[in-house]
This record gives sequence, structure tokens and C-alpha cells, in this order.
Amino acid sequence: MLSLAGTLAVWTALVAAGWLAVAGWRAARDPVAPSASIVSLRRSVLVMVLAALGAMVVLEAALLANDFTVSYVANHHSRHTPFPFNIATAWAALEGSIVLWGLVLAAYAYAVWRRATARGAQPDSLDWGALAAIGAVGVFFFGLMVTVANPFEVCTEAAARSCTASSPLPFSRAVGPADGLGPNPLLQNHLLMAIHPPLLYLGYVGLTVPFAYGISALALRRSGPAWLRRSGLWTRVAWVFLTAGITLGAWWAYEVLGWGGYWAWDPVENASFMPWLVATAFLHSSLVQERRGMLEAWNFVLVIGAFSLTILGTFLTRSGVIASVHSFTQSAIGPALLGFLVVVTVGSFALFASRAQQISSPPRLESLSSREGGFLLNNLLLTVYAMVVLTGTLYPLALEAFTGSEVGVGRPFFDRMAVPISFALLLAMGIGPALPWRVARARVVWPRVHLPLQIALAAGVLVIITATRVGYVVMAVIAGSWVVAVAAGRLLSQARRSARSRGANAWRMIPGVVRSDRGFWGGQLAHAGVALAAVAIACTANLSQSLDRVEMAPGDRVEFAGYELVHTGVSTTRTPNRLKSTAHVEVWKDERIEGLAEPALSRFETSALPIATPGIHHTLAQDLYLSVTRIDEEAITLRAATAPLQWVLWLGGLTCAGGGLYSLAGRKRRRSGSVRPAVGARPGG
Amino acid sequence: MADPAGRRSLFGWVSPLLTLALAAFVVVSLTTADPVDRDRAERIGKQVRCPACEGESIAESPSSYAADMMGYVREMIGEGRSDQQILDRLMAAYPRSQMLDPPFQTRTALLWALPAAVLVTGLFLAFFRLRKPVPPESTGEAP
Repeated sequence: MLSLAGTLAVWTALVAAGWLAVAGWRAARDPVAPSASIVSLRRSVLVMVLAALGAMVVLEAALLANDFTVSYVANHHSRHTPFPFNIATAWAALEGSIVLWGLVLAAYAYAVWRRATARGAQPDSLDWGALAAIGAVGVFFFGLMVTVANPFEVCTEAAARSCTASSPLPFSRAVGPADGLGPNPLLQNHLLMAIHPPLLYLGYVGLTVPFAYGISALALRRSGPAWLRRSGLWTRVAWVFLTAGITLGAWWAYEVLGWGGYWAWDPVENASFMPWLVATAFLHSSLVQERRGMLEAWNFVLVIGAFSLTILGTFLTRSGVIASVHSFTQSAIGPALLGFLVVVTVGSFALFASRAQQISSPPRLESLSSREGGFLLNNLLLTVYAMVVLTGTLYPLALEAFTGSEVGVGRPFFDRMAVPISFALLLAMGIGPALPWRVARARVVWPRVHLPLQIALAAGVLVIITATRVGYVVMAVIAGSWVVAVAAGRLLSQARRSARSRGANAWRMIPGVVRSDRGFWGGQLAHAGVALAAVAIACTANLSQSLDRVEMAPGDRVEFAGYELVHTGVSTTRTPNRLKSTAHVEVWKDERIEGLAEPALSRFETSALPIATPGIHHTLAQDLYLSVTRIDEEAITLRAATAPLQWVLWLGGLTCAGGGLYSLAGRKRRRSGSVRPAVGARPGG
Repeated sequence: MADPAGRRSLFGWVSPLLTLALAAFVVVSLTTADPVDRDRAERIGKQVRCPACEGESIAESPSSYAADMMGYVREMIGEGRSDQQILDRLMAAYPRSQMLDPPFQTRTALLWALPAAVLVTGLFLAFFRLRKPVPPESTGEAP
């Protein structure tokens, strides 16, 4: 029954997406789009979003109703999966995550439609062309849902705890196991896992929209500021979600995975980081085009690149080509995604090449030492960064595929390459906002930067005297304070200027100055977030102490990093789907008990390997991170590490996303409820 | 910046000097600092991929297989072997393990060459294509 409803919803969405592609293209081709084709567009968008929503609702209903005749439910759900993980199961495995993808894509189509037809907006063929491109992408993803990644297949042969054969025909005779195995244990350990994937998808899928505008502009030969403004807005929307999603993903890895880190340069992390880098590059280079009309060709390359990288990332993480902690699925979806990736990249760049003549030849840069020169540097660094991550991720695969020889490319390689690029980016981030457009002269720049430079160096001196002489930490503090101080200096000097002209107090002028250019100041806030994150990363990477595997019987004590850890005993709790053994460890400092950390190992009936959950004692200065590798009544094997200023990393990541959100809130055109209605949250207000 | 003339001339030489002094302090402190004394076993372990788990180094992985390998590393450190000797013997003893840090060889050269190519191309474009001599009608001056 639910299989039938789900199948109907997915097919409806597929037809609507195709219809949208055709109707959008016809409306775009017609210079004075007749109202009939607009009505047709509107209907196709509405049908697509309702059908995609319907598919998700049916999937959730099947999960909540324990309908094990639905193949996805039989294979990924269990009666004992607790709330809210039973809800989150809908996107915890491959087929369901594609349903979420389709829903988000349809929601973006609806938001684009609403914005294009909002009161006061000038309907434009660019918008119709973009909707057509979104429709075409939708055809692919809804097409996946009815073929290789169909969550609504009817289970026709059931084993004890799973479905061994299923049929896409909704009227097949349905059988279902009495209970299923449930989702991957790693994914039902922490609440963040329910939030992080949807956020990341909103970012990932959101990059379809700027791509669609780019394609629309190329196809309609409409280069110029119109497509750029639209692409810029939607990139910002996607970027905010992507930034927040990446931050929460790192947080989840830290709180749940129990290996003590938050970033492992794992392919799935790289898959989200590469589009982020390219989207960030676009946010900056689009400003150069907006302001000076330069770099348009490059901006097309960036929007196409960012979207291609999201498809590449989906291919890498969803096809099982790379065995990683995240690639929990393998299926026939790999070739389909690879084919789509080839079609998208080859098609887009061919279109780009065929239109190269029409893209306006840019005015030249007067000088490299200028604001636009700073943006060029930023783009160069971000592109090289993305290239490093891309080659590092793909190289082992490519080498093995072509020569059969294996090579490991892991953390040491990425760290070695990423650290210098990141420092260069931080320095550029500091100098950039202080440079004027066109030509920067020393007599203009020096007064803007000398005080921030001294403040930054003084901060470094302070760290050296009071805390540490570890080079990376000191340099990160200097570079980070430099970024923040330059921005603060610009803010104060603008406030002072505005106060002088009005005869008021400079401090009172600050809110007005910020509000007058939310794009710029939102960007500066995002920079401050990156600076915070850089300091935190340098601290956790260089100042942490660790203790490897100590055996502790109940009552044993061990000294570590100024703490005394006391193992007081083990308790075991049994829930229907897991057996959780928790070690109770008291954290003592200076003869006083400071807290209790409870690292645990969970055994899920569905998985041979136990899942470790760390016990973390949070303080302002550092986290004390405890994990166990073995646990029983006689003894535990404990690992401990400190993570200095770990919370600053989460603060930095969220500040960065917050900066993007603030810049969105400053967009001039009103959009009453028109942005992402399916999410229920408007960017800012 | 509209500082009074007196303040500006004062800053004219005080400020660069102060900047230099602070920078000199930082540079001297950092170059004379003792190198970070990391646990040697951990440093070596972080370069080796744990064969039983996915994508983690043997220093980070909680698996017993990784614990075995780390034990062997410590044993060899106790015997006073060099880092390279330890890595070589470890690879020989555990044939399925792999370095996480790829060695620089012909088959891995592209790994460094590709990003470098992007960097060089970018610099070339910035200097020679985007920054052209200013067209005659412009009043700006080329630096």
C-alpha cells in the first residue's frame, strides 16, 4: 500500500521534473513569454515539490508504521530504533538519501520560482532557463529513484531480518520480515546525525541553483550582471548551509566516532569540502565581476565546477568506490552517477566553450596590488586548495584503476599541503579588506594596517610569554588577530568618519555602518569565524597531549595532563537493539573532583564491531577526551587525550555560517516568505 | 585617517619601528624554541594506515590490530632503530599496511605536479593575461 503510494509520488515527481525542463526551456526561448507557458511552469514546479514531499512523507510513514514490506524499511529500519533516529533513518542509507536530495532540489525549484515571480520582481527568461536546468537535474535524481535507488520496492522474499528480493512493481505480492536490522549503528548514536545530513544536503543541492543560472545564461547568451546576481544570492544560501553542515559534521565525528579527531581528510569530508572551497572562491570573484566587470568567464567555470564537484562527491561517497568509514553503501548507483558527472561536466564546458566568444572581454587590471588583486590571490589559493584535495582524494583510485598499484594518500599528505595554503589564505584575508579598488598605494594602505599589524604581533608576543612557543599556534594567533583587527579597524574608521559628518559619537555609528553594507560586514564576520577556527585547529593539532591504552581495574588511578583519572566501575545497560557498557571515570584535579566522564562501548546485535562512544569532560580551556577500546568487569583499556580550545572550532564554524546568513539578510529586495519554504526558516529576517 | 599632523609624523617612524621590534621578538622566540617533543611512536604511527580499519592511522584507530602494530613500533623504538628502519620493518611485517603519506616517486609525482600546475597557470594568467598594459584612452598609470 505504502509502496504503491511512494512509487506513484516518485513517478509523478519524475514526470513533473521533465515537464518543468520542457516548459522552462520553452518559456525561456520566447522573448515575451506568454502567460500560458508561465502557468505551465508554475504547475510543474508545484507538482514536483508536492510529489517530492509526498515521497518523503510516505517513506517516513512506512518507517513509523514499521511497514517491513517496503524494501527500504526492511533493510534499514528496526522496530527498536528509538525516536528520533527512526525519523532520521529516512536519510541514513542510500535510497532514502536520494529521496531527501529530490525533496531539497524540488524545494529549491519552488523557492527560485517564488523569488522570480515575487511582487516587484521583473520576470526574466534567465529564471525560466534556470528552472529548466533544475528540472533536468531533477529528471536524473527522480530517475534514480525509480530505477537503481528505489526505496519503495515491494519486498517479495524475506529473510529473518531483511529483505532478500524485491520488486519495483507495486502490485507484487508483498511479504516482509517481522523486524529489520535497523540503520548503521554509527548513525544512531547522536542527535547531530539527524540534523547534519539535511543541512549538508541543503548546501550541496543548493549549488544546483547557481549552476542552473550559469547554464541558463550561457544557453540564452545572456552574459552580464543579471545571472551573476542571481547565482551570487543562491550560492550564498547554499554556502551558509554547507558551512554549518560541515561544522556539525566535524562536531558529530568528534562527539560520536570516538577516535579523538574531528577531521580525517576522509573522502566524504573532502567531498563536502571541495564544493565549499569552490563556492567560496565564487563568492569572492563574483564581487570582482559585480564591481569591475572582470572575471566573468572564470565565474562560469566556478559555478560549473562547484556543481560538478557535488556530483563527484556524491559518486565517491555513494558508490562505494572508496572504502571509508562513511561509505556504508554499495550499489548499482555508481555507474549512473559517474555517467551523470561526465554528462554534466562535458556538456557544461562544451556549452561554455561554444559561447566563449560572447562572454564580454574584460577590462584589464590596473594593478595586482588592489582589492581585485586580493580577490585574484584568494581565488588562486582556493583553487589550488581544491585541486590538492581533489588530487589527493582521486589519486589512489586513479592509480589503482590504471596501473593496479596501490598508494595511500592520507592525513600527513593533506596536512602538509593544506597548512601553508591556509596560512596564505589567512594573510590574504587580512590584507584584502584593507586594499582599495583599482590601485593600492602604500600611503593609503599603511595607515589602515599598521595598528592591526601591531595588535596581531602583540597578541603573538602575549601567547609566547604566557602560553606556548609552538610555532604553528603563535602564527595562527597572529594571523587570526590580524584578520580580526583589520576588519575592526575598518569598522572604527568608517564609524568615525560617519560620526564626524553628523557630529555624533563614533561608537553609536557602528550599527549604522554595519547595516549600510551587510554584504561586506557579513563577509568580515565570516572571516572572523575562519580566524577563530584556524586558531582552534592549530591548538588542537599542536598542543594536545595523549595517553595511549592503559589498563585500569576498578579503583585504579592514572595521572594524565595534570588530571587524575579514577576508574570507579562499569555499568551495563541493555536496550532492545544494543548492549551498552559504560565505564565511569572520575576526573580529579588539585585534590578536587572536577567531573565524571563516561566513555562507552556499544554492541549492536546487527554489527560485530563494537561502537565506541567517547566520554568528554568539557572545560573552557580544553576538553578531556576519554575513550575505551576494551571494557569488561575486570578492567578497561582507556585512551585519553586533551583537546585545547576545541569549542572555539565549533564557534568559528558557526560564526562563519552566521556571517553568510547576515550578508543574506541584507539583500535589498524583499522576499516575503519566498526563500526555501520547505525548510520553514528564512535566512535572517 | 585624519590624525593631527604632529601625531602622524610621530607615527611616521615610531610605528614601523614598533612593528619591526614586535616581529623580531616573535621570530627570535619561535626560532629558538625547543622543538615539540611529540611521542615518537605516535608520530610514526600517524604515518601508517591501519589495515584492519578504514582510513585511520594505527596511532588513532582503537582496533586491536592497530594496537598490535603500535606495540611493535614501541618495541623497535626500544631497540633504538631509526624512523625509516621502523617503517620498513613494519611494512614488511604487516604486508597489508600502507603509508598514509605517499612517498615521492615517479608514480606519485602527479600528486604534487597537478596542484603546482594550477598554481603556475594561475600566476601566469594573473601576471600576463589579466594585468595588461593600460589601453591608451585610460588615464590610469601602469605600475
